[in-house]
Amino acid sequence: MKTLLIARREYLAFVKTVGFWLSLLVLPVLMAGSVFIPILMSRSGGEEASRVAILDLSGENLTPSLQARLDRPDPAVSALHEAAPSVSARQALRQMASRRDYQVVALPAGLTPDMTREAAEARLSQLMQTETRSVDQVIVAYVEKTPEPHLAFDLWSSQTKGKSLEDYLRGDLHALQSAYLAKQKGVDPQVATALRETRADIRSLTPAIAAAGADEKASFTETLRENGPHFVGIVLSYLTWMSIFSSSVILLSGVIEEKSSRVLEVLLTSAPASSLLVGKVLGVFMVLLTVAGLWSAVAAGIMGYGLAFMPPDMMNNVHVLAGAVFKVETIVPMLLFFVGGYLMYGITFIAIGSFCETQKEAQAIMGPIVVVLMIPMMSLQAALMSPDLPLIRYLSWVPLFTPFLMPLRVLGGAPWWEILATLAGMGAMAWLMIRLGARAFKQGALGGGKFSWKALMGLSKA
Amino acid sequence: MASDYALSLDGVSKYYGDFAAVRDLSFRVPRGSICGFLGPNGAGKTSSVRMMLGLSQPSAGTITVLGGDGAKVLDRIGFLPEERGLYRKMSPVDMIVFLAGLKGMKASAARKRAIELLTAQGLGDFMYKPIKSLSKGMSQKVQLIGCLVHDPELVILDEPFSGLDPVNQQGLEDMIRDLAKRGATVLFSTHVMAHAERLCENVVMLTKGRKVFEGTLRQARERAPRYLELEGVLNREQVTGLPGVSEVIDGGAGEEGTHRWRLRFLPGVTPNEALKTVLVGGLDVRRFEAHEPTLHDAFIVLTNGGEPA
Repeated sequence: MKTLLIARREYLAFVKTVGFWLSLLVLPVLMAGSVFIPILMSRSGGEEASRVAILDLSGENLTPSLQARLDRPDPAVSALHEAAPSVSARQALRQMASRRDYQVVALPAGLTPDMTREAAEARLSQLMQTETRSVDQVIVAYVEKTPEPHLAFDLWSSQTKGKSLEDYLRGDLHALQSAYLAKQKGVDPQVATALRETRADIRSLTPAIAAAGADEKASFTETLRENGPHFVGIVLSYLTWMSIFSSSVILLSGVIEEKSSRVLEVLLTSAPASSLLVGKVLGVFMVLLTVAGLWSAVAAGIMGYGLAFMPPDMMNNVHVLAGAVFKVETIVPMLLFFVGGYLMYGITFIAIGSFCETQKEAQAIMGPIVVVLMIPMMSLQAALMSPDLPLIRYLSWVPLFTPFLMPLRVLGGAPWWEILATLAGMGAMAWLMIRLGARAFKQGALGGGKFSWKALMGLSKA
Repeated sequence: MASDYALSLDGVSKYYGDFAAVRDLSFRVPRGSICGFLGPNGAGKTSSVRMMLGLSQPSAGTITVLGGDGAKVLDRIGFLPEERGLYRKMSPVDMIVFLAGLKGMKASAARKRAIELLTAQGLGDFMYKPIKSLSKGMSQKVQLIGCLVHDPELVILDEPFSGLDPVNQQGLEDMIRDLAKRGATVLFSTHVMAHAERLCENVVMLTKGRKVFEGTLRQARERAPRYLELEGVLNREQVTGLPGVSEVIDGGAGEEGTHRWRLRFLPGVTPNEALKTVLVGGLDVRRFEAHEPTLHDAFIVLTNGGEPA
């Protein structure tokens, strides 16, 4: 009962603060914003299309090609529109597809295809400084004679607007140059296009992927089924590390505050040290669950919304990946690894905090522990480059690193006996650290003495 | 059958390495009494209190609190620590309800009682404000209410008067008397003798970790010497020869050719016999004044200025 009361106070001490909710909402708001804001902008019409004029001085009749490109809807959105599974998604995508970033307009007065490049530049310099002009940007196409004749395009605007138009047209402008060069060299334009677009087929095969045969979609699905869990495992390992480390630091700070304000002594005259310890750990765990629950709900909402826009193939791939990750035999061990790691480090940090009255004192003690915590973090970076590193396997057997590295291995298909053995090792280590931590906590909370590693070793003998 | 004593220490010692904080301490506190736990700074009072509460274990000896182990009867004890400890962001009501909950009190009853006590202590307007906005005296009252809200059988107060103004000190004295009237046992440590003198029936004095006295206030005072002030036409030989006098202090010349003398008596000896001798002997005494020793005098003598006698 006392334990729950302490846990409740710890929990409320966090969730009652405005700062907690602000920091909690930042990530989901950013996630939601990145998905919804572009859609809302497209629905509301967004900003007006940029007015673009084309001045073709090349004599190669490039205007129709450029105009067609500028008038064409975004091919990526069009593809999504065709594959969208629901009527509402198709409507939204149609709206997006109908939106134009650029509108081709007639050349302003004083600009004609038969003028010289120098005259055009002089006129454009003057025009782009005029407030009441009928055009925002002008594409000037011409042939650069040296060192070898080739097409050149100057993109004029009143001020630097990033590279949006250049980015939008880059591929098309290179294609025009390719066609121009083919024509100059007497090469068949179709051959030139083929040469420009040709790519080698490169595949990474495993038996399962090979079994999927030449079907590209099936092959991709198999690749996802085989490699997806590994990358999800790395993400979950990182999340585990960050959650355990940040919650342990929260516990440490809380205890330091209580120690320096003498609250800890008052609490110990009302509740056993073990109740205080477990209550604090439980309270912050509930805070973690709140954060995880809220973020999961937001992520699920965004995913649900996103699935409506997803083509069936892509949705199938998402289901394949989710099916490979969210299984009882993966979720249960991962939860146990998380709880074990949280208990080990949370209690250690609380015990350290009970010896300190300032953050500075704690930092001096924390040094070696942070070094230990960095080892699995660095291993994960190595795992990102090379998933099957033996180092990961060896380190995952070290109980202090088990909680951070086993999520990766569980999703990578570690044998069940290794999962059970590492769980047992971590459990034994957690039990030892809880016992030592409880003793150290009581000693630190009541004593005025300073923390020392020698004193800690003494606790283990007691 | 319940013991007549709320608190009993037998041969208790506490060592921190080679340092003896408490040495062979034994005393008893009867139920329903107010006992002063007195001693100079560093006498071992706080170490003893921690052992009573089960916060640390004695190196030797046994402690019985409310018939059992202090750590197992915490819910029946109220403790006010020397250094106050409250959550600064919590309101007084929430803080008291939380502390009462840790003592096993239901939240609804604790809230009702907390509001009553806070209002009675003049903190009605501050009960929902963060504790960090309260003055030191107000915070101390909140801490005290937190220690008493669950009607404990034994109340241990470690330097309860420090930081309080005279008005609040008086209020706290009244609260302590009320506790005893309701049947609670109160043990409070202090090095300000005036409070102990006004409140206690019994006192225990410590110095350098050793008990130097245990008994009633009267017994304590009797351990201190009495003084007699004499003014008259008297010389040193006449006053030195008076019965029971242990020391004669020259007070200087008085009015109209008289002289002032301050006589110190042996412990336990009253000035009556000396006065009788003066009057019967026909000595020229113009003025006399007997001084009863105070607890402060007894404290100075018993603690030998901080050294065990």
